[in-house]
Amino acid sequence: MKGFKIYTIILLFLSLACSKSEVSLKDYYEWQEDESNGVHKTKTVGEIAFDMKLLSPDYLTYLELKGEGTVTPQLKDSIMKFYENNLTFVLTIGPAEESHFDITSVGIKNYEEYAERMKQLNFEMAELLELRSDGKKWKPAIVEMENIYGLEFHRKFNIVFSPEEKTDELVKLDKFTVMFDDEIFDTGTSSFGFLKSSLEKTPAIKF
Amino acid sequence: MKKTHYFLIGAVIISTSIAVYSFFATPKIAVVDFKRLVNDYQGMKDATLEYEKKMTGWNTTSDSLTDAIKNELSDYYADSAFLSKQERINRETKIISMRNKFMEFSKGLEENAMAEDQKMTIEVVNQVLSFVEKYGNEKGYDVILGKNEGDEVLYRKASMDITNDLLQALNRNYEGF
Repeated sequence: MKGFKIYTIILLFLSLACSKSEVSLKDYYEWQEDESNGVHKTKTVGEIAFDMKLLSPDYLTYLELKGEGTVTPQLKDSIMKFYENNLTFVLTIGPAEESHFDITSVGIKNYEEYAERMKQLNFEMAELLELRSDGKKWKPAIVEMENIYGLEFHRKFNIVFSPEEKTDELVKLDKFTVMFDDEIFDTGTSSFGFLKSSLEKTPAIKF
Repeated sequence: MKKTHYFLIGAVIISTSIAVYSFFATPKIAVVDFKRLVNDYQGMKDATLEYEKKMTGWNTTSDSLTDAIKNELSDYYADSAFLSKQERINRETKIISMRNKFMEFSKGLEENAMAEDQKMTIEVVNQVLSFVEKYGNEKGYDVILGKNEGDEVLYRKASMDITNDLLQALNRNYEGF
């Protein structure tokens, strides 16, 4: 009986130690923004700034279930499972600090060039992005430019990489790099490296 | 307290102030072998590989066009004794047209290769310069001079050369981790 109690206490302690702390959405954003946590990478080349964020399955599940009312653990788990098998990023392309220009029109001389720029941003980003890990490469399953309802200088792209052969092939990657071969602003190839351990450290969000 | 004590305290304060002032007033300067920095930058190595791949593709097309002209020409010589005047004219016109196309392609190839090379170099140099600016800011440098062949930096103390450290940081940044 005494042994049972000790085991129960140890198990309880371990489960508490292993469970993720739950934070508010505001705290999650703060944690995500901090580059030292490893899920947010930035790069500047010339006047163009790149900002790549790796989104956690927990956050994506939160977004999906936001405003759904009662969320059962089963529903949450099933949605979370879907997101766990994919890798989702948000790439923001904008002017570097101290620069003020709209990236959709920078370097554009006429309407034809503007139309070409919009075509590239809307439909050709997938060609320029690639996920790499241990010599393997994946092209994005989805790349979509977010709609902007206002005067903004930057543009955001939601990028999703999905498994191509085995369901868990992306979950198993310990480190992976998103490559962006910039044929739009001619800044060359930019790499954004991420570790699985950083994703695992992401705090859970209070639903 | 004796006058000499006041004098000593005053002297210490003044000399400390001078030391602190000169420490902060002296600009932090470093020198970088820019050519080596760019050439040993992994981004440059990868971009060069991509460029070479493109060139190989273009050269393969060029070679196949040359082979086609050679074959056409050798067939023409072999058949020429049996061709009528009109057939000979037709075959010669065809060969001239093929040669013109090849010349046009070669000219375009040369221009494309030059443009691609220039684009690649500008992209890589911009990446390096942007990183040098970030590195300089973070490490508190006031000036980072580029040491290249024929430039104005005629001498620098070995300790002022930060090429190795900068290159290491640059390549780490390129890897993205």
